[in-house]
Amino acid sequence: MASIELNNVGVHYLIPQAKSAGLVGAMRSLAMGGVIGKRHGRIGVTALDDISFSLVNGDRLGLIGHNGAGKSTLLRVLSGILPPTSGRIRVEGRISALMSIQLGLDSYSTGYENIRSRARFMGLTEEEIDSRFDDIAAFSELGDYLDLPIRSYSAGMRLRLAFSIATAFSPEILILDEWLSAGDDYFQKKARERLTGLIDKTGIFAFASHNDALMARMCNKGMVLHQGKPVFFGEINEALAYHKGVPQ
Amino acid sequence: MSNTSIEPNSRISHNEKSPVYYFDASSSRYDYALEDLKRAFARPKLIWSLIRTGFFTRYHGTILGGLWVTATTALTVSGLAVLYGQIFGADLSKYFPYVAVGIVVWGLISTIINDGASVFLAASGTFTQSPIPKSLFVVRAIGIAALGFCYKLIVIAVVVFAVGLRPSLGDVGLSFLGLLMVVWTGFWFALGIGTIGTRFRDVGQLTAAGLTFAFFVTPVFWQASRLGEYQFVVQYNPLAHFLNVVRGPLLGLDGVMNSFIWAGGFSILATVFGVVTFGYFARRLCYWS
Repeated sequence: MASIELNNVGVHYLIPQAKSAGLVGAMRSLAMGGVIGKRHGRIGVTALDDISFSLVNGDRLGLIGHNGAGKSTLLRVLSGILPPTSGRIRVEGRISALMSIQLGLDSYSTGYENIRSRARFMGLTEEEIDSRFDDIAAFSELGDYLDLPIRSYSAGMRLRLAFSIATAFSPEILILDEWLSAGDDYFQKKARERLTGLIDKTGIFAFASHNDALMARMCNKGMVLHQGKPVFFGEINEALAYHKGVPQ
Repeated sequence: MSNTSIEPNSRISHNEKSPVYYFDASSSRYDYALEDLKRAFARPKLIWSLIRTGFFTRYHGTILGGLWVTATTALTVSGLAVLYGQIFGADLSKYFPYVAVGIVVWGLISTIINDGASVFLAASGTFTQSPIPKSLFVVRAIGIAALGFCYKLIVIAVVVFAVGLRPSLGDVGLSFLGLLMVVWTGFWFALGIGTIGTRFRDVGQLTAAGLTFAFFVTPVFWQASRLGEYQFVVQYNPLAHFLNVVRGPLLGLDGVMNSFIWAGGFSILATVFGVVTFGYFARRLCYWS
């Protein structure tokens, strides 16, 4: 059973300004006087503030908010990339975060080699890779190109390969930052069906997008974020309506 | 909503327990770091993928490939040995292997220190975008350094045999033990210095500058016995001892036991340094980089 539980999760951090970054800067500010001095020249950022909620199997959460509202930060906290600076998080179940799906691809390796190494990168076992290998190769429709180093691919072909690998494995929790798309019209249709199928099979789905219609279709719960704070959490259509009502 | 009912998932075995990710910002410091290390070492195939691509990318399309490391080292060692052998008036049959092993082991040590200071900075684009253990990149850096070392071993083997040295199996074993000590210490040191180097960007520059200096005060290509009253330069230099635990047994040099004691002490210090620094700040790395 997949489950997600967040208690008072916050992400606050200081950005060292370019000027005071480095050892000398830190020593100088230390010498200038205690705790206040340390903060001198640094900007505090609150990316997420006091977020508590829990999700269970069947929940499809849509994150709604303007740019910089904290949607991506929250998704990165959920996927275990970013440890929060306050609060607690507990996530049960295998997570797959479909962000930066081209990370870990090596230009000098062939398509086949990249399928294996990128899948390892995603944390999959050798047996899982073996069982999905042919499916990935077939779905990408790259044919003989899979024997070539991927530096000979066009950007679209690379993305098709990355998409085929990323969507080949069913996790218990799927995290998606903006809808994934790849290739030409024909491939896009295929990709949409594959991604939708993957989401349907997943226990918990967390999604951030600016496409309201897509959100309403894919999600059943919605959370509206405003400057890192959850201002609404409930049924997706109500959340979307609430967000529309909030002045910019 | 029609998609609230979930089809049974055929690909996930329900007998297996689902992994649990738990993080409490007020108490999970060391747990977070330990979990990171555990996850890194649980993926040997991924480690190998990363080392392989990281190392061989540099030599793609070349005829010699990885053997370029061997060729470069052979050239450096020959030049140093012949020229400085003449300057020092040394017996070339003793001096040549001395320089060969010295340069190769120094290469390993300096690569680990240099790459260690920037290890998390170089990988930050990856671990801030994907849930991959951070310490994996330290393992990768050590692995790449060790793979380069393996190519350089060819030079050592050729030189040692060419001058007629036949080290016993025990000597080779002791030398290998010394090498393990270097790698072990290097791992924890890189973990610690990499963490600090992410927060304070001057650290990378500082270690690079320090290494240039260290090269001249460490008996890589000159003999410690010629120091006279300046013996302390070698006695209190940890790098000299790490050099000697690998080179000493192989070439029958003096002070091997003494060096093992010093190197052992420093490796414990480095381990504590790495554990404490990474343990305390691992969870800050995403914010610093």
